[in-house]
Amino acid sequence: MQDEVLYRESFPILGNDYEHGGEVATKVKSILKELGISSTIIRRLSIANFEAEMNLVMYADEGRLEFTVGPREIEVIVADRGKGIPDIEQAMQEGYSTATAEMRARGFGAGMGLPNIKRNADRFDITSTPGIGTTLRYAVSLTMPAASETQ
Amino acid sequence: MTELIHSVIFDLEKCVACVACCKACPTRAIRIKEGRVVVKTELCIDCGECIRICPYDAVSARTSSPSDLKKFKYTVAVPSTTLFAQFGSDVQPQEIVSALTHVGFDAFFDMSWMCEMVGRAIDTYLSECKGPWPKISITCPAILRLIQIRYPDLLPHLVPFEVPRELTAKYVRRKLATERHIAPSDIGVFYTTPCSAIMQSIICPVGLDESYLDGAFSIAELYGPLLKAIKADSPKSMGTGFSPKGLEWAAAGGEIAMMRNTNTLALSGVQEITYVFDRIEAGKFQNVDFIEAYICPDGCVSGPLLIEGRYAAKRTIHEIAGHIGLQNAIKEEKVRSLFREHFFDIEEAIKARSIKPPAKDLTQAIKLKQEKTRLLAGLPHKDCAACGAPDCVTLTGDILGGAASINDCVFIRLQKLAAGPTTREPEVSRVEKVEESRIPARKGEKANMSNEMLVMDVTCPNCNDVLTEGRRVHLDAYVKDTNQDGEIFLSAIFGDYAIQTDLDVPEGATAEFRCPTCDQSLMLNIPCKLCGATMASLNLKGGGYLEFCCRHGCTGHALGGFGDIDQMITLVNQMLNTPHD
Repeated sequence: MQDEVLYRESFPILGNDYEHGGEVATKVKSILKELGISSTIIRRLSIANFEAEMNLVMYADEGRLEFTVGPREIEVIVADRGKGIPDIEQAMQEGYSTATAEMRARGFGAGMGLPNIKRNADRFDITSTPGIGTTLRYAVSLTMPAASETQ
Repeated sequence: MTELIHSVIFDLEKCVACVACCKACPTRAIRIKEGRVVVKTELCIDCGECIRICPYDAVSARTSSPSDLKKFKYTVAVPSTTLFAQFGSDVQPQEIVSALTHVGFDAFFDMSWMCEMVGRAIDTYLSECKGPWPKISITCPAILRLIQIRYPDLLPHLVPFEVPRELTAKYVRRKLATERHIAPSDIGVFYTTPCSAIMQSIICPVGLDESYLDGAFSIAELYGPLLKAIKADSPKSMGTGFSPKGLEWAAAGGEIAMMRNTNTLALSGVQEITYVFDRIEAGKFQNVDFIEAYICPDGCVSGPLLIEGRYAAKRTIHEIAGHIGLQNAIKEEKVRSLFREHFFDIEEAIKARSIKPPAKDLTQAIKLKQEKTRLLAGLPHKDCAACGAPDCVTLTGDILGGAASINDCVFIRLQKLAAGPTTREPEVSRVEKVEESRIPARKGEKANMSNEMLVMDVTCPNCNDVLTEGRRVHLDAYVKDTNQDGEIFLSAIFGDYAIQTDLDVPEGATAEFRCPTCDQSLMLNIPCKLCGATMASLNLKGGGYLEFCCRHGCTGHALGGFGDIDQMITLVNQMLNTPHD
């Protein structure tokens, strides 16, 4: 949880809006660049944000991506209203995908989505209620270099 | 880090300080300040977009001139593959290179085969390297600069191979030294360049300590002399083996077309490139092996220093390559041995050229960002560039950086104008303060007769006589409704519509105004946008005009005719009593 909010911004995302898919992640990236956040942190967050945004576009009706810069970490919450995920454990498996042929034709749905977000975050949490929606909450630490970076 | 020297130069005599280049610049490096163009050199990538767009021919590239050839005993021209696309498909590459020897060069050396070798070498590199994916070509020096300043995360994606033009120059220099025993310092190797970015890469190379080229001639400048030489010279086959695949490198898609690896993408134009680079940064496109990227749409054939249009040039180069036919100009073993020798390798690591962050820490950066958002909310979002910055967002950055003021925004000034005068002291002498008005305000109308109001100096458009007398404008008028003719005094105070006259002018009556000096009509054939009556016109001393409705009680009026935005700003400033720099 964030103890102090230094900066916060929130963006709406529409389900099935492939035309603008990826724009929120790009906007967040340019804001983080403006804030002088280190490029490795921006890269990890951008990868996660891109996946989360495209998941929302592909599977949900509508939702928001909100990011909060705190003194110790940048937290992102992506909450949607949609059909939700019945089996989170299965969805978290590498390679698992329910992407349709259309989604795959557009280069999405390789089944890397959720694990890829988790891999790029220092903290990751997902809650979902079938028929209601899904909330992702992940954060990248500003202070400590992540294990994946030092490898 | 070495100082950046740019090839793009502005001719301030020709520059009229319009905002065409300022708006076209992909890195937002150009501002218009006090009627002059100002370049933020750390942002300039020498792409030449400003050269292409300038309607006044005020932007050009610093390129080599014939006098540069005199510094060397033996000069060699290395023709860009785009050169062969300039004269139509009936003129063969042999004729063009032969013409090069008639315009001042001692010899030429073909580069197309080196293009093909580099293509093959990249193939080998891709099969041996381990990512990160995709790999990106560094052929376009503007793209390389763009990555250095805006996408430093993509530096590990760059193919660490020198570009064909440099490798050709390196090769020819060695060849001449060993085969002809010419001292390397006596050899001048010159490129013929389609763009300013390549010229800049020779002045200030990246990945190299010093360029192997001694300069570059603009193809646009060589065009005339070459055309003459081609005509004068009877075409003869030189038998030099041009590589058809290498020639096609002139247009976007040519670089990947010659490669064996087909898991590739060709990008050109700054919008496409930004779109894809943004996504590569976010981990996308990892399934692609190689990307060629050119800042010019359609690649080098649309370089800013070329004569032939890009569509015709694309067709020509394709036809010429077709004439030569499908053949391999190079030997695979040769490429492999050069690859093992590290002949293709860049000599120095390519580093980021990071732009100084405006804030020293996160807290300050956040404050700046919030201030920026606040400022931006007050701006009109017209991105008109009249302020001298290309768009409103850039203006906010300039304001916070202390390089601009919110008052640079024309809309903000007009808003202030509409909101009424400010209390600041006027600095311009022709602005006269009105301490008290002798003109009574009309009933029910806001008088605006404070001592802050300003007098407009108006003149007759026909005889130029100054018609402002004190706080009044002296005119003659014929009032149709009452059939009366005589003197009439209009308030000279901006925003005040009071009149003084002995004539009987009922509310809603219209008058035909004349100049009291020359007796010429001041009426225009334009209807008032508010009431439909006819408008009259007066000139403003110092530039511009004022149009006003001839109906008593109507507030229809318009200002216009300013020679430039500065003139209008000066006037608005005078009305606002704001000092103008």
